[in-house]
Amino acid sequence: MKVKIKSWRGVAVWKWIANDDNCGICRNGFDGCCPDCKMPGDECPLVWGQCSHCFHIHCIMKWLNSQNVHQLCPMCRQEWKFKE
Amino acid sequence: MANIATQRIQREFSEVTKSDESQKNLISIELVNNSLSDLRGYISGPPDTPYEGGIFHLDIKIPETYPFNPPKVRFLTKIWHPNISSVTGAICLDILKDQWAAAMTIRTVLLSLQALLSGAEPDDPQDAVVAKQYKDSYEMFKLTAKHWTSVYAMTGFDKWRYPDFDYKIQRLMEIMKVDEDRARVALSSNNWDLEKATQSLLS
Amino acid sequence: MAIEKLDYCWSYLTENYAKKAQTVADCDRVNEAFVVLKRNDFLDYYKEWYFEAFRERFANTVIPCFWQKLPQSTLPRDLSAIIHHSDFSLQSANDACSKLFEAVAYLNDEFNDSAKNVFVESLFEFLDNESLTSFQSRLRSLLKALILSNIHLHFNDYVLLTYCCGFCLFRHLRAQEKHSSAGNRMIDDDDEADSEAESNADAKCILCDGWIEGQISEEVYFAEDGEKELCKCQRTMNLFIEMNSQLKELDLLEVVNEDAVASVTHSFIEKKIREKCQGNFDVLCIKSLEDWVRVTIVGWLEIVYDKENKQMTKNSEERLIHFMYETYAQIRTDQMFDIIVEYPESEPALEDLKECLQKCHGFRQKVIKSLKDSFEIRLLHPGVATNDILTAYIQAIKSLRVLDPSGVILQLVCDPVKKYLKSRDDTVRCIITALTDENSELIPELVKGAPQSVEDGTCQSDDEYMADNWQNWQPDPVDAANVAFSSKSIRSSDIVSILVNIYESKDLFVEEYQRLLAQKFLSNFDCNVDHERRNLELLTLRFGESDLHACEVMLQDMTSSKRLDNRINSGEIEAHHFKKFPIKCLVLSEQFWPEKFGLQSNDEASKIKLPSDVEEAIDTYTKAFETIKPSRTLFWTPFLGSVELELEFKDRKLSFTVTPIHACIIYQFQEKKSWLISELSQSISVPTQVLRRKISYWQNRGILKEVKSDKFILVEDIGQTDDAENQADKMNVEEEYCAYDEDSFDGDIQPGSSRDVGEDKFRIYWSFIENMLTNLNSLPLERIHTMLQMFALQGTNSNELSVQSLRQFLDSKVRDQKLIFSGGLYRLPS
Repeated sequence: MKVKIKSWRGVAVWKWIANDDNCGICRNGFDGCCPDCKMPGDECPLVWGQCSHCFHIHCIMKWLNSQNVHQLCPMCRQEWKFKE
Repeated sequence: MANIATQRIQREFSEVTKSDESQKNLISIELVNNSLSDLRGYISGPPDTPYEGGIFHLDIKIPETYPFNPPKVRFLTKIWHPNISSVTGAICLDILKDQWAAAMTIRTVLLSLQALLSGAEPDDPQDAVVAKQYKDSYEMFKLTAKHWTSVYAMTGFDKWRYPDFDYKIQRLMEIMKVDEDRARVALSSNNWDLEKATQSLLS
Repeated sequence: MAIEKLDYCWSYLTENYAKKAQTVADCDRVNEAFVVLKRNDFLDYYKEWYFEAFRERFANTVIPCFWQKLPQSTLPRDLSAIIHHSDFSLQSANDACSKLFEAVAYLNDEFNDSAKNVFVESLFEFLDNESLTSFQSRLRSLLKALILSNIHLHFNDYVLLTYCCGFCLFRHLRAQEKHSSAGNRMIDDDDEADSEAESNADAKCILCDGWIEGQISEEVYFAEDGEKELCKCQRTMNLFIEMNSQLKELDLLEVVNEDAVASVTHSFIEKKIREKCQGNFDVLCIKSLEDWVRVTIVGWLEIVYDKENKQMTKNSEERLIHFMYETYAQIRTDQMFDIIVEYPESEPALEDLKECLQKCHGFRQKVIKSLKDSFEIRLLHPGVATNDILTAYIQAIKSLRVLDPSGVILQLVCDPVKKYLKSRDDTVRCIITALTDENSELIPELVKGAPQSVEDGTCQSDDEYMADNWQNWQPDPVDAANVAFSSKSIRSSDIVSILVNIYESKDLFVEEYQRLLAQKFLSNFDCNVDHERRNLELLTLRFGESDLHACEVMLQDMTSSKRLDNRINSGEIEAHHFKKFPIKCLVLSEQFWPEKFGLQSNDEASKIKLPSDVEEAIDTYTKAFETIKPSRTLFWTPFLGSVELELEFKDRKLSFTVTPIHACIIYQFQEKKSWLISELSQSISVPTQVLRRKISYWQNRGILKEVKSDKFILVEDIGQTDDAENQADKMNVEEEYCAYDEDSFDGDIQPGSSRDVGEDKFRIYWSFIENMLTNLNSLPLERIHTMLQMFALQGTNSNELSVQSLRQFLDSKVRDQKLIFSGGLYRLPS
C-alpha cells in the first residue's frame, strides 16, 4: 500500500516575535490588539524602537504625540527612534 | 475615560492585587466610588526610616489621557518629608511630572514613592522648611518625622512617644489657643523651640 | 260489666284498626270505643299497642312487599353504561322507573292507611299527653329505620337510574318547551346540543319515540292505521315529581336520594364539561358552564326538592359550582401539555383555567406537578430532539405567562427543563440556530429585543429559594423590581433572555457560543463564514459588540487564512518551494479563540510526530508566512487539521479525509505492514490509549486489523475476493467485526431485497437514533433497540423490528460512514 497525501490542512497560531508578551503602554497582549483596534495582527501591528523595545504602533504614536519636548521610549526613556 | 485608560486601569488593578508587594502588604490600591478614575493607594513606611510602621494613604486621580500623562498623586496622610508638602500632601517626584513614561504603572508609582521615603532629595524640595531641617539638623528631622508617623500614620497602642514633644504641643496649644495640628506644625518648623514657635504663630 | 265493655271495645279497636272504608257509623263506633278506653285509662295502652301493630305490619308485610316490587331483574344490566352514555334512552330505563314509582306510591298509601286513619285521629282527640303529629313522626322514623335496616343492594341502583331518568327528562322537556316557543329560530342557549337535537326531530320525541302532541299534523295523525303512541315524557316527569313529594311526605326523600342526586349532578356536570372541552382549547367556556349549572342543574334540583326549600338548593348550588370548577380544572390540568403545545390557539382554555385556579385551592400544585410529570415523560429524555424541547419550552413560557402572570408556576415548572437543556451539548447550537434562522419564530423576538439587551446575572440561588419556599410566596412588592431582577428574569423578560438564561448568564452563553463556533470552524474548514457572520451580526445587536469581539476575530481569522493560503500557494512567495502536495493552514489569533480551541481535550495528543514530508511542508509554509508577515511566526498544533489521503492498494485506490493523527497512523503502515501498538506510540509520539481509539477508525474501514492483542496489520488484500461464501465465513468467524468488515466501502453494496425491507422499517427512526447518539454519545445495540421500543416503536409489532434487523440497519449506516462502531458501541462520527 502507498499513502498519497492529496492535501494537508493544518492549524497554527500566529505570534509576534517580540521579547515581551504585553505592550508596555496599553498592557494588552502583543498578540491581541490595542484598545482602539478590533482586529489583531495586520490592523494593529507592532513597531520597534532602536532601543529594541516594541509597542503597538497605535500606542507608541499616541505616546510620542503626547510628548512635547523630547520623544523618549516609555520603557527606557532613551530617545525614541524607529528601528529601520 | 478613554478606552485605553479604562482597560489599563482594569488590568493594573488586578496586577497590583496579584503582585508580591501586595501579598506582603507593602502596597495596595482600592477603588473610590467605583470609578476607575479615582483610586486610593496605600504604602507602608520602609524599614530603617522614620516612616517605619506607618501606613500612608494616597489619593490617586487617573487623567483622561492616562497612560500618556501621569496619574495625579498626593498624600492624604500627613507626613514630614522634604519632598512632600507637610500641609497639602503634594509630592515632588520627577516621574509624576516630566519623567513620566507610558510604560509606568500605578504599581511602579507606589514603589517609587516608597523609595522616596527611603531616600529623600533635599536639593529638590517640595517643603522648604522640612528640607532645611533635613540639611541643618538631621537628627531633629528624624525625630520629627518619626513623631509625625506615629501620630498620623499609625494606629494602636505601640505608638512611639516622645514626651518632650507632647509636652511642648500641649503648652503651645494652651498659650496660643490653637489646635493640636497647628501647634505641631509650628513646633516642627521651629526645631521644637517653644518660643520661636509662639512667635511664628503671632506673626 | 265494665270489664266486658272494655274488652269489647279493645277487641273492636284492635281488630279493625287498619280497615279502609270507614262510614260515619264506623266513626261513631270508634269514638264510642275510645270513650270507654279513656274511662278505663286504657288510651296509652292502645297507643303503644298501635305502635307495635304498625311495626309488625310494616316489618312483616308492607316492607317485604315494597321490596318485592323492586326486583333486581327489572334493572337494565349495564347500568353504569346507561348513566354515563350521552344519548340516554328512556325506554331502557322505563320499566325500572315505573317500578320505583309504583313501589313508592304503595309505601305511601300503606303509610297513610296506617298513620292517618280514623282510629289514630280519634285516639288523639282523647289523648292529651301527645299530639297526633308527633305520633306520626314517630311512625315515620320507625318506617325509615325499618327501610334502612333492611335495604336491598340494588335499591340504590333503582334510585340512581330513576334520578338519572328524571334529570334527562327535565332537560329534554325544557329544551322541547324552548324549541316549541322559539320555533326553528336560533336559540340562544347554552344547551345547544339538546336544542339542536330537538330541532331535527320531526314531531317525534327523541327520548321515548312517541308523537308530540300539538306538533303533529292531523294528516299524519290519521294517515296510518293503528294507534299513535303519544310522547310519555311529560307523564313520566309528573310521576317523578309525584314520587319525590311522596318520599318527602314519608320523610325519606333525602335519605333515599342524597347519593343519587349527587352522583347524577356530578356525572352530568362532568359529562357536560368533557363535551365542551374535549380536544378543544380555543373557546372560552367556564362562564357558559357556570350558567348551565345554575340554570339546568339547579332548576332540576328545585323540582326534586321542595321549591320552598331555598336554603337547601342554594347550598347545593354553591357546592355544585365549586365541583364544576374543580372538575374543569382537573380536566384541563390533564390536558396541560397539549394546551401548551397548541398555544396561542389554546389561550381561551388557559384563561378559563386561570379563573379556576383562583377559585380552587390547591390546584396550582396539581398543575405544577402534572406539567412537571408530563415534561418528564414527553420531553426530557434522549428520544426527543433538542429543538423540540426548546420549542416546547418557549411554548410553555408563553402559555404559562397567560395562566399565571406572576410567573411563579412558570419558574417552578420550567426549572427542570432548563437544567435538562443545559445538560445537552447541542442546546446552544439550537438556540443560536433558532435565533438566527430566518424562518424561525424567534427572529421577531431577536429584532424586537434589540434595545433591551440581555440581563446578566445568575438566577440559580433565587430559583432554588423559590423551589423550597414557594408556598410562602408573596406577591412581589412594586419596588422589588430592581432588587430581585434575576428571579424576575424568567418571569418577565423576553423569550430570548430566557433562552440565554438557560446558561444562567450572558457570559456563559456567549462563551458557549464561542466554543460552538470554534468547534464548527475547526471541524469544517470550508464552512460558510458568511452565514456565521450574519448570525454574529444578529447576536451583536442583542448582546453588544464587546462581548462578541472575540467571535468577530475568529471569523476574521477564517477569511484571512483563506487569503493567505491562496497567496502562499499561488507560487509568488519564493520561500514556499514545497510542491509535493498543497498545504493550507488555518492561522488563528490565539487570544481570541476559546481555551483548547473549544475542544474537549487535546492535551492527550498535543505533540504528534508528523511524517517528514509534512514537517517540511509546514516549515516552508511557516517561512512563507514570515516573509509575508514580518516579525511574526507560526506555532502549529499538529493534532488539528484535515488531510485528504489516497490509499493505493494493488488493485484499487481509496480516498479518505481524516485528521492528522489518523493520517500519521496509516502513514506508518506504509513502511511496515505490522506494528505493535507500543512501537507505533513511540514512533509518532501518541499515547497508546489515544492511539487505540484512533486506530479503530482504520479498523472499522477494514484497512487495519488487530491480529492479536496490541498487534495491528495492514489488510492489503481487502476486497480482492468477491466470493460470497468466503465473506459469509468471515462474518461467522469475526462476528464482532461483521458490521463493517463484510464489505468494502467502495459503494457496491448488493441491493439485496431483504436488507432493503429491514432498512426501510428503520429509516423512519434514523433521526431518532441520531438524536439518541447525539445526547448519549455512544450506545450498544441492545440499548438502542430498547430505547426505540420505548419511545418510537410503540404500537408496532416489535417482532418485525428485531435486534437483528436493527443491527443490519445500523451496520449499513456504518458502511455509509454515518455511524462508527467500536468497542461494541455505536456512535456518530465526530
